[in-house]
Amino acid sequence: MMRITINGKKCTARYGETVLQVAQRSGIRIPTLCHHKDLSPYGGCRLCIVDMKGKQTPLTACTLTAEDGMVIKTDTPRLRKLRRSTLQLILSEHPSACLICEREKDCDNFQECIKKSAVTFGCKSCPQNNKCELQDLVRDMDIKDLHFEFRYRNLETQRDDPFFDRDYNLCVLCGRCIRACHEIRHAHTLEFHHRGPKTLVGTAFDLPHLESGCQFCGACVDICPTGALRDRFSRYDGPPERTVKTTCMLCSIGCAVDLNVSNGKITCSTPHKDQICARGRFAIAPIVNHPRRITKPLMKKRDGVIEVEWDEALECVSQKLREHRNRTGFLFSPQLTVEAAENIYALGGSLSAKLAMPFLSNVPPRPLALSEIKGKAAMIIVNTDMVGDYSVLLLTLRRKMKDRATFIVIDAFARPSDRFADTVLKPNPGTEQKIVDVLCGPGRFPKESGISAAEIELAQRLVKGKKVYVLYDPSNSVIEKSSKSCKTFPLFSQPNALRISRMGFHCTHEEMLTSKNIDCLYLVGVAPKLERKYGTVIVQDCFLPDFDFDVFLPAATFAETDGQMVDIEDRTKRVRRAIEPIGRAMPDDMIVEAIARAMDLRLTKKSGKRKIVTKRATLRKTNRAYPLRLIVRENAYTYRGKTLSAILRGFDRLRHDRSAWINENTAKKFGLRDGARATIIGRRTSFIMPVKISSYLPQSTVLVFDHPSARRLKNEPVRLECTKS
Amino acid sequence: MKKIDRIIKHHGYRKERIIQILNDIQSIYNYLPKDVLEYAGQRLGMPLSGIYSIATFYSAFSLKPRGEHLVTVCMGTACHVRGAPSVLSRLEDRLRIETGGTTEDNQFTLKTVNCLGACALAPIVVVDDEYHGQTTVNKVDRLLKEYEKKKKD
Repeated sequence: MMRITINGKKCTARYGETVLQVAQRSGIRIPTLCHHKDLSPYGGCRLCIVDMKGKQTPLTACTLTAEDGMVIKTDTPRLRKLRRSTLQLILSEHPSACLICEREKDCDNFQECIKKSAVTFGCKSCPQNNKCELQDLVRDMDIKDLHFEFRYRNLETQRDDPFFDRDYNLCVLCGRCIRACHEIRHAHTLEFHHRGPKTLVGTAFDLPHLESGCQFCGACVDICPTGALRDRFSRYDGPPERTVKTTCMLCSIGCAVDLNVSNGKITCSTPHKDQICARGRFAIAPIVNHPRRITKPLMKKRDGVIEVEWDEALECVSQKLREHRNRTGFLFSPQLTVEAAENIYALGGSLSAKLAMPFLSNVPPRPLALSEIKGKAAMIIVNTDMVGDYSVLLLTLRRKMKDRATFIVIDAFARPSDRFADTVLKPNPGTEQKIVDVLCGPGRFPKESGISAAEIELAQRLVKGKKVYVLYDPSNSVIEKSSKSCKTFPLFSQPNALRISRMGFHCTHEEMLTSKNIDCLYLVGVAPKLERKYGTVIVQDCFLPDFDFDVFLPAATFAETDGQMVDIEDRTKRVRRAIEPIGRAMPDDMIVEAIARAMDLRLTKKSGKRKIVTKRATLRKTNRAYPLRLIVRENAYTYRGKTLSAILRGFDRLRHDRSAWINENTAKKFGLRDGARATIIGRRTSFIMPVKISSYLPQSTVLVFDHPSARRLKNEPVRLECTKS
Repeated sequence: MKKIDRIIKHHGYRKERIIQILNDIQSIYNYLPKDVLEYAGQRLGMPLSGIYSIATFYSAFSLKPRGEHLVTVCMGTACHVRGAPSVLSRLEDRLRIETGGTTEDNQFTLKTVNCLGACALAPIVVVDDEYHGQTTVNKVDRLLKEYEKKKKD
């Protein structure tokens, strides 16, 4: 412990703390702009200057390490004068006409001169109005006039990328976004360009963010003190009236998010203390407020599908369920709250109906025990898009091991984003287990993998003497433990996988859809491809399915629901209702309860008997008629059975997950151009998709993301045909 | 790319020597091609954004192909006072390019600097490391002819 004096107040400082941190802890306010508690000190804005006894020149508090006996003054007339002129200089490059307007106070109420002051130069029309740190500083320092000539950069707002706009006219070059991109997210997308008055923030070669390896996590948008970076969806919603902490249910990690609520509407979702990914940042609010969302009960009647009252819909559902009883099949999404899943189990149990396993993997879920991962470790990641699907988990792992972990990626489809790894091995599909074997223990050199001995040797050297942890997505491939020294962890991208697998089930998705004993399908948040006609189809969802239904019950999203979710580490997390359900939608658990009430059923807990048995996929050989192998990858960008790219703008361009990915040579061979529509023909079925040409794909393979038709052809040989539109 | 490998190896695969590495790359190509920078970034384990940042920070680096001869006009105070702007505009007229541009036949690239420290020779024009002091508008024509002639020889 060290003792320092700030403004005559005696403070204690811990070793390594900066003067700014000590002051903030002791309740002494020092104005800052480029400083952020999660980022390294930068000392760029020069607003946190302080006087230190024994030093002539003022020093920046954010970079000044506290030492015993320091005497600091933060608020002298000289410092105030210096700070004011520094801020004046910053304002000379930041549109600020409204900041210093004498009629500012009346502006919010009357907007009396909105047309007099050029809109571009006004703070009132800036999306960051009242959220802006620069605005706060100007108010605190009571700046009323500008001393320097205003220099407008006159740059065009960049709107080409999904999710956020970038208006670098408003940038104050604090470098926070750059440091967030480097230090927190390790994405290294943003950097300063040029120098002096031409300095700007941007990507390499000013490429669009989509091409520069950006993960679209939104960390830069949330950390920007001005309106230079702005979330496109919520840009004009102003500061939130309140925020509600909840858990994101779009994947199994379950990040804590703050839902920002204004005027009873969810405007956006921001990370609660820690990090989130593109889904948590940019998908939640657009899903909740989606224009195509159905918020009224619908029923099919003689004259088509019409809106009905809840009572009528519930009456109809209970009648149908009573009719079909044990010939009913329940298919539900794992993205429901635990309470909703339990109620569905109970309703199914009371009817002796069939329940299908809601996820596709054929490996029993196990909790990811992060506490077991420690010390000198090597992480082998097999066939899993760590940066795209599990970016927050990857950050947690890195932080846990203080960036000392070795990462090895084994994936035939390793993307450019996988360059975080120390080495990337691209084996022939189906030989991943053999490579894990040879890396973890005694194993024969896998010649058929197509990987050179030198590459394997390098990977072996990286692994040597370390504990090995194998992470894999079981829906893509199953990896078994190969020696005592290695541990395997299946990663489930769907939430609640652990809880639901403990509850058990009766059959798999496929079995349910092909079973002849089912007359009535009850679908909660899933949109499978229906192979045949059913007596009754009941859909409980947020969006309309693309098949015929008898009753549609509008469900609330998780942002409008109270409940629990179970994450990948088997921790139970609270899901909180931020707003009342939109329209006449109801939370899933309440809908099921209402049905049970209408049927006079007492919901009894009964669980399925079958457990998940590990099955290893066998690869059928390709031949002349079907020369390509179709690889189906789990799509972790879904909500209630719909891919995010199908319902939200932007995700399609980020993910291209509704396209079939092929290599340039394959494209040439089949005469396909990027974006052309192709029929993918397998032995059992065929489907049409646009193609996406990519250089990092191996030869003779087609990669598609999970969707109902592709599922039937998983790992099978296929051929492509150009479809004329 | 073998040449690039050799350069990087020569600098011991060290990221902190990126400026020297870029300098060596530029001496081969006369500018910094994008694909070469991407490759160098991969070999050094350095993000492309970082390399681009350095390449744009130093005016000695060019990301656009440059002509055979680099014509640099000093615009420092002394040169400015002694008529550098008219020398520059004469060069722009004669070469039919703007400052920073390259002639269509890839012969000349025109650039300005803020001071060369040789103010006694003001106004000064540097062509490929050759200093031409006390330049006038008339001298510019002669100078260009000289270099055009060199090309023909």
